[in-house]
Amino acid sequence: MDFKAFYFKYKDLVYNVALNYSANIEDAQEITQDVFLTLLKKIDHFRSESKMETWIYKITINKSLDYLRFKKRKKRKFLFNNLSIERASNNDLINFNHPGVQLESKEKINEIYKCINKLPDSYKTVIILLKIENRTYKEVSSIMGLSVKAIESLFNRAKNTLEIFLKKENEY
Amino acid sequence: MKDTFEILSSINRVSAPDNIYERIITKNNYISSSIIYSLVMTIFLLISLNLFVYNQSNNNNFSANSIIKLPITALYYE
Repeated sequence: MDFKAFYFKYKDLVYNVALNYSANIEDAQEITQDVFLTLLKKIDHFRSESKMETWIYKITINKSLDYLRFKKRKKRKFLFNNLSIERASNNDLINFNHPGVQLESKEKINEIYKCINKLPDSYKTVIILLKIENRTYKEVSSIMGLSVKAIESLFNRAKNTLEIFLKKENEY
Repeated sequence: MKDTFEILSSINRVSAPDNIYERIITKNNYISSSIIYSLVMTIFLLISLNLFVYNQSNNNNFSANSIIKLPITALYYE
């Protein structure tokens, strides 16, 4: 298998999914690197029961969520040792660096992302795949391994929870 | 919520930077320092073991040779 051709075919897909999770260029590059290293090792074991794209989505989502968890643990440790709470909340704005976001919407999208980051992983994933990646319900159901009905129900719960978080955020 | 999702769908797709490919290849070819350290220690232990065994066998040969050099009468029980 020609890895270079494979990389250039799927690099934008992986990078954009990573960006949509991390909202940060450096983190997205790290995640993309990890994803392709994993793909390099596992490509020979890929069974064509699902589409290649679905498989790549699954790996990218798992790596992105793992990376975000790792970052959270690191931040918690740093907060405990050094930082004040005021500086910690300012860090969120500093870390938000999504190149696909237009300047006029940056602040608003940063606010939305703060709330998305508080959601459980499944809620976060369904919102990102449906509303940012603009995948269909059928595609999201293949990626997440759930039925279309389950995805619809999950999305409704995610939407309601996000609404509550956004209201609380606007109150501050 | 409609506004929220409309704003989110306005996020553009971007192209991945070119340097990531080189980083992947470099990292894939990289042999970790722990593996190198383990190899070196293993080689060192094997050489040490061989030297020890060689020295031991040399000592055994020496003591055997010294018995051979004794006068033959000394070997008989009087």
